[in-house]
Amino acid sequence: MRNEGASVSLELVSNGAVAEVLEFNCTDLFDGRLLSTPLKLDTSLNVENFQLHFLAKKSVNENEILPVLDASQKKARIGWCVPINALASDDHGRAEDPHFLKYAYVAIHRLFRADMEEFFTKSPDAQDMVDRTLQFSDLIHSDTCLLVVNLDAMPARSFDIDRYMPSLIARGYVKLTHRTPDDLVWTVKSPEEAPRSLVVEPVSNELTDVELIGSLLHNSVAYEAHPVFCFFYIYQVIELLMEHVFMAEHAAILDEYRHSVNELSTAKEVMEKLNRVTSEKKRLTLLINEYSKSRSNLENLKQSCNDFLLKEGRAGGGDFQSYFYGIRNHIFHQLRDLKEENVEQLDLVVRDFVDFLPSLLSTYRTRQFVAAGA
Amino acid sequence: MKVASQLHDARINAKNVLLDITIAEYEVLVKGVLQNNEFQRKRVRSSKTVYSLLRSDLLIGCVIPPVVLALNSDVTLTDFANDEELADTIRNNAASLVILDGLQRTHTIIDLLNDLRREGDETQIKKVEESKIRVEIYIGLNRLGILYRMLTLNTGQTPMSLRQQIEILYLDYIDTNVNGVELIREAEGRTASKINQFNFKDVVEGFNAYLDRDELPIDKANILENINSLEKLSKENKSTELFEKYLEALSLLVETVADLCEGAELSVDYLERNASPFGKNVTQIFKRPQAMSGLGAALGKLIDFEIIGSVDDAILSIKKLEVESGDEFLEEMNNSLEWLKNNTTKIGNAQRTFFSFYFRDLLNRDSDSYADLLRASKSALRKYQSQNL
Repeated sequence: MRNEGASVSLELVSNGAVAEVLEFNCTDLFDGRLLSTPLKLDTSLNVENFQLHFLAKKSVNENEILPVLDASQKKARIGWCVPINALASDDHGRAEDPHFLKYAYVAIHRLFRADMEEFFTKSPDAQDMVDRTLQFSDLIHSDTCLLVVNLDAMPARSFDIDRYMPSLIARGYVKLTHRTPDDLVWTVKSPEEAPRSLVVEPVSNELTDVELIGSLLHNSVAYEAHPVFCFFYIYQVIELLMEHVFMAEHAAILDEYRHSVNELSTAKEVMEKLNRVTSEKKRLTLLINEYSKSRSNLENLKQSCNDFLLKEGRAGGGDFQSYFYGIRNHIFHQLRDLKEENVEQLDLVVRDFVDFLPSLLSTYRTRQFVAAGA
Repeated sequence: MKVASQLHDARINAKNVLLDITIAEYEVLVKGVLQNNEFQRKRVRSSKTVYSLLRSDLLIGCVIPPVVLALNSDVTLTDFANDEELADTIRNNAASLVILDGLQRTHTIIDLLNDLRREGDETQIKKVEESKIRVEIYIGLNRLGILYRMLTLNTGQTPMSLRQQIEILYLDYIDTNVNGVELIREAEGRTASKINQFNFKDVVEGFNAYLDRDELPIDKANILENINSLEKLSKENKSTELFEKYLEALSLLVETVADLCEGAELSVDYLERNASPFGKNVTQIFKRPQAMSGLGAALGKLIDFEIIGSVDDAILSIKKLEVESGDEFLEEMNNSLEWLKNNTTKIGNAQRTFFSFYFRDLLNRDSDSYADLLRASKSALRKYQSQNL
């Protein structure tokens, strides 16, 4: 869709009747066309209170229409995530859900007010005169999902999508970009029972690099087929966090050092501390034990890391810093020795790490230092 | 009204007449058409761009693109003695005209004249009324021909839903009389709630699945091919018979399964676990379009693979159907369809394919699930899973 044309109208036909005429800017290709949905839309919500974000999920199931719960707000419902296919069908389980029917209307309404230049979309075929009723699939890739957020449910009425991207990718959703979702590689194994909700948690406010983290995950990992490169990308997130750890530790140590003037033994201890904190492994330990309170999903990650290390003939370990750093060293320094048959096991490591990442990032807090001289 | 030229359209075997007429004459000619418009879509709300532009163009005497009409009557392709006779024939049969292309332009013209008359601007009224417009009229088209032209002409035409096109294509079959079955058109606004009532559109889709040997919904790419195949079928004078056979198999199936299951309904316990099942009873399941298309495609494929000779063989098999427990069968079908709902990207298509496998197993004498309603539901899901996952 291009914003180069005049304002044209498109009738939204819901369950056989015109629900509304949507006015928007685009070319005449849309003029006088019908956009059809079999859903009985409920037009009662004020669309101005909602934000729409475009996501993609590889081969998303039409029935995955999920209320979105925010873990940082005691799992309060902040919106819905709706596969685009679900707006064009009433075969799914939410076809008569009154809440969904309200959100479906908001999603469609906001869809045509969004700047679709920003995303991968299709243009209706000007030559196609056989059926001029537009289907959603004429405009948008079927792997597209619409995340509709209710601003009234957000503190301060604002929603920063970048802060939620790590937890979205952990559930298989990536940011829709200009690339076709056909290129997407990232998939998440479906749970045995169909999910009932999409629980998300924001990255800690102490981390300001959310766009960079999101880009590593959504532009690099999501389109990368080889687990080695995926591991390299995800480890960049760890590198970034360790940089934060170093800066915080360094500042605290310098503070301590300033207070150790004329106290030789203390000064020596402080120097040793500084020496220790330059060690990557030590910072990894600090990150996991002091800067993040997360423990969720670590068992899976530990298992998959140790399985991989064992297969590669390397020693594993009981602590994150042992097993995860062990893989880092193996990949970064001895990639040439990696056995092809173990690549699949590395893929599990990547998946378990992405699963663990949201809680690591959401619970990140700079540790409190005891004031020097206190 | 001046006849500018006459051409013969060999593709649809009709006469195409080009007229130069004044807008006043055109208004008289088509006013009745707008009230009696079987094929065209309802009027769409005027878009701000094209139609308001057209309105101002008319006021300054712009020649608008020709509108295309068809004379849907018994007027045949007789050679008219002269142009005057042809023009008279058109005027005298105005009630049978159909607008193929230009409905919205016609509405704009009539609205404009009405507005000017309300305002009493005589000069402007006269100017518009005396402006000329080109009109093409097809004479001697049958309904398929009209639809073919509507679908292939159409520059500037407003949309017609696929569902509407399908209903028009198969309109001849609406009055089919098979086992007291009643076919209900979408426009009637009634629901097919009785056991012998079916939605016309769904049955047509099922029949189409039979003709195409494909259970997936008709898409816009193949509707023109459909017209061609229907034309072929009508030449062989077989289409009605085939449609009736399909409908007979379908209605017998629904009736037989309902009898065998003796009013089985999903239990409260089941509904607590799954509040939106595919069908709360067997009739609901088999009257859904997915089942009808699955049946159509299965019948076609069984014939192609020479497992059955004709739909009549399938009808004999339907009479042999059996089930031990209606309740168990109902739950099993819903479980299978629920699995598809939770594990496929396009639920409707997956369910259609499931039903196609289901009926192929159910009506195939060589299959382990032959005539066994419950067993076929399990084997169909297994087959779907093995072929798609």
